[in-house]
Amino acid sequence: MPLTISISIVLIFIAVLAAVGFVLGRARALSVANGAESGLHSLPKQHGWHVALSTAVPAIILIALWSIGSGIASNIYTNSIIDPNAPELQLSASVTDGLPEAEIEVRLAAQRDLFVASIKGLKTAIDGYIANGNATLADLERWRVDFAPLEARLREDGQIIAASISQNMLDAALRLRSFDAAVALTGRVAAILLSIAGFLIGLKLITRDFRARISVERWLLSFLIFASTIAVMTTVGILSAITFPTLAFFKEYGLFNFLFGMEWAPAGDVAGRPEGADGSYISALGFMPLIWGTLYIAFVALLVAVPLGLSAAIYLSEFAPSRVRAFVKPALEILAGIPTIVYGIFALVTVGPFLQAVVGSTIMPNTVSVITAGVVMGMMLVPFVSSLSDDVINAVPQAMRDGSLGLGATPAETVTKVILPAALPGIVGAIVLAASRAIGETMIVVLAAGALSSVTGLETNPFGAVVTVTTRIVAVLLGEGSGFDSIDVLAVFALAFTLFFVTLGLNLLAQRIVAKYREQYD
Amino acid sequence: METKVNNMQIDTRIVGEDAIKIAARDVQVYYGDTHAIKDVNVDILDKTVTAFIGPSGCGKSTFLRCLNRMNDTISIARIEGDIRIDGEDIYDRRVDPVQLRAKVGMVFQKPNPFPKSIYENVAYGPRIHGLARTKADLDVIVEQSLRRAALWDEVKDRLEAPGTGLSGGQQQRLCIGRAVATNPEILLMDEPCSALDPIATAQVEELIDELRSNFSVVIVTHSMQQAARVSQKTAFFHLGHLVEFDETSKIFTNPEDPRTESYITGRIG
Ligand SMILES: Nc1ncnc2c1ncn2[C@@H]1O[C@H](COP(=O)(O)OP(=O)(O)O)[C@@H](O)[C@H]1O
Ligand SMILES: [Mg+2]
Repeated sequence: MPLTISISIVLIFIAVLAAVGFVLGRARALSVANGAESGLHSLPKQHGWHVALSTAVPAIILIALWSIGSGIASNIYTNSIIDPNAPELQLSASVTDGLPEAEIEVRLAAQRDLFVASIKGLKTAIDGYIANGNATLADLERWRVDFAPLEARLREDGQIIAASISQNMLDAALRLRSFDAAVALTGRVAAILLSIAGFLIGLKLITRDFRARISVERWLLSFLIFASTIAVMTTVGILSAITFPTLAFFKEYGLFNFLFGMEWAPAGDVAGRPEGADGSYISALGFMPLIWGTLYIAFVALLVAVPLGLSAAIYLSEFAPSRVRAFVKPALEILAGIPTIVYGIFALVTVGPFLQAVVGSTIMPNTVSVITAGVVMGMMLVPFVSSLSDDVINAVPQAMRDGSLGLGATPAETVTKVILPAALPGIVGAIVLAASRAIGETMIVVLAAGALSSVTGLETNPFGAVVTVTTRIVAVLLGEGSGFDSIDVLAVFALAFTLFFVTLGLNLLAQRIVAKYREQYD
Repeated sequence: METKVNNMQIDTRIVGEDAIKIAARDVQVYYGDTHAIKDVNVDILDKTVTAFIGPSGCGKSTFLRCLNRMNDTISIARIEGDIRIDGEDIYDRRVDPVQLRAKVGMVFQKPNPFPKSIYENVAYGPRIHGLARTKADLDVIVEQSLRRAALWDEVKDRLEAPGTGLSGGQQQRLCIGRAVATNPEILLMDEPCSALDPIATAQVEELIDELRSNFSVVIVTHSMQQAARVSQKTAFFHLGHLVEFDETSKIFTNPEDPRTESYITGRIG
């Protein structure tokens, strides 16, 4: 019976050893100093920390790296044990019929990926099945697909299995299982050994002159660097995750067709198969109607948010008595904290019907419209615009106000002629940031802008319904019948990618404007 | 510190006509519960430079700001007593502080040109007070003001350049020009040279002396040499009181009050 050590035992072992290391390190430092603490370069406590850290940190890093590496290793292993002639990897003639060579390649690769994923899924299911105490390791040796309906037994136990199990799949899963177990065991043993080594070396290093203080500082610094790297890596990860499907989509559908297409009509799960001889797709995936709807709503939202938010900011920072300010500013901030779904509901059940009642249903056939979504989104952005503008207005030095008032300008003249011009770049920055939020906003538009599943051309009636980039992403991913490998889904990645760059561009622009404005007074 | 050689010699300049420009009686200023100015009585003459000296926090700026009602912009400030300019109570209800400030110009400690062009900085006051009918009128006012501020020759070729791009001393003279442009009768200056280097300080001091022929100038200063160089009258403030007010030469050579003497000899700081 193979040896297993669970990961939690390893972690507990390391933690305990580190704690012991701390106590021993401190004691040893004291004994090295012969009771004269001042003779040590570092405090006994720091020696203790040094031992604890050198016990735990390298071992934990090893565990983390090992778990990433073993994932990769098991992928490679799985691919290597698959028999290339396995029937699971072949496409039936009815599928390949009439498809171009390149398309068949793509399909074959997908088929292979699917098979690998199924093997890994089955392996996880078997792990769970055993962990639940339904089978022993010895049973595994005797398992056959038809030995007893394996699939049914696994499902009954609550394990998730995507595809139906074949004998090839089971054999591969079992081999993968023992491979993974071996890799994991090696890693855990290595981690334990490493922690013991760190413990011993740490203790041995303690002398009167050992600079534990500096080492501990270094550990801390490395931790901080590591933490900040994670944030950056996440961004890079997100970007790369959407970049590859996007490029695949552009290659398949055509960048130009996407960017300048005037029709959005995903066809569902046809998997982007060209229709007949002319090679055109059933799915029409033009970006124009979506970005039009998005920008139209954002424009209406800014039309509402900028005047209101800016006026509120001017009032609060220049005119409001401190008592009013103390009350209104937190109130605005609470407004900023309302989840957007609540605004969406408000738009759907209150603003939309109200607008329709006012303008009549000939102009406004639905309660959802550009205006409905735009006005409510504008409300949402008011506190955002006002708090950013308030900051930039407050950043205008008091000396500017004094200078203007001292020349006999009224407070209103001071605001319009000195403060606003001085704060203008910052205010523009705030507006750009608000625009970028409006463009990326999802919940309000999903509920209040309209849910047409296909559109052609650009809707100009502000009381008409439109589609936006974000609502279409939601609609396609929540499956209006699309399979995950269909061109529609790839198109969604392209939408997300484009949205990412539009908002990134706007944010960079805003940052540049604001930074330039800061320089003015430094 | 100063480039001008200073031997503490006081010129005995002839003080202009003895017309009283500003008369303050029993002035009290409170910031909330802090009593910052206590029972101040002073008569400030026309066509004269009056210096306010005294240790930090003694209320010089506070009193100066009473004279153009800039304290009105501080919500917790409260002023009592009577301040008259040309016999008119400036705290009377009928007086509009906005008009008052056009008549009583102010220059601040740190040069504070607006982030606009040099021309626009000077034209700001005349524009809001409607002093110029035409662009040509405004050009004349701008030129005249910059000449009075002894800055015209340095900036006449770049009036459209931003005022914030000038050197510190030029900026301060621009602020003086800006204040002069509204045609004031009184100029208040709160430590106008404290942010300037010695050369710029010397230029501004020279300018102050010239301004005396047209304005009544009140200057707060931390430098006793500066007070001695530019002023004819000096007021010494201490802990909110106006301790002594007299001819500058008298204050610096023969002060009446022991506190004044210890301050000018450097014993109170
Ligand atoms: N805006 C203000 N709010 C509250 N207290 C103030 C304010 N300005 C000045 N003071 C107080 O009034 C006193 C006099 O200040 P100030 O007139 O600035 O002195 P000086 O200009 O002589 O250094 C000081 O005690 C100061 O703390
Ligand atoms: Mg002061």
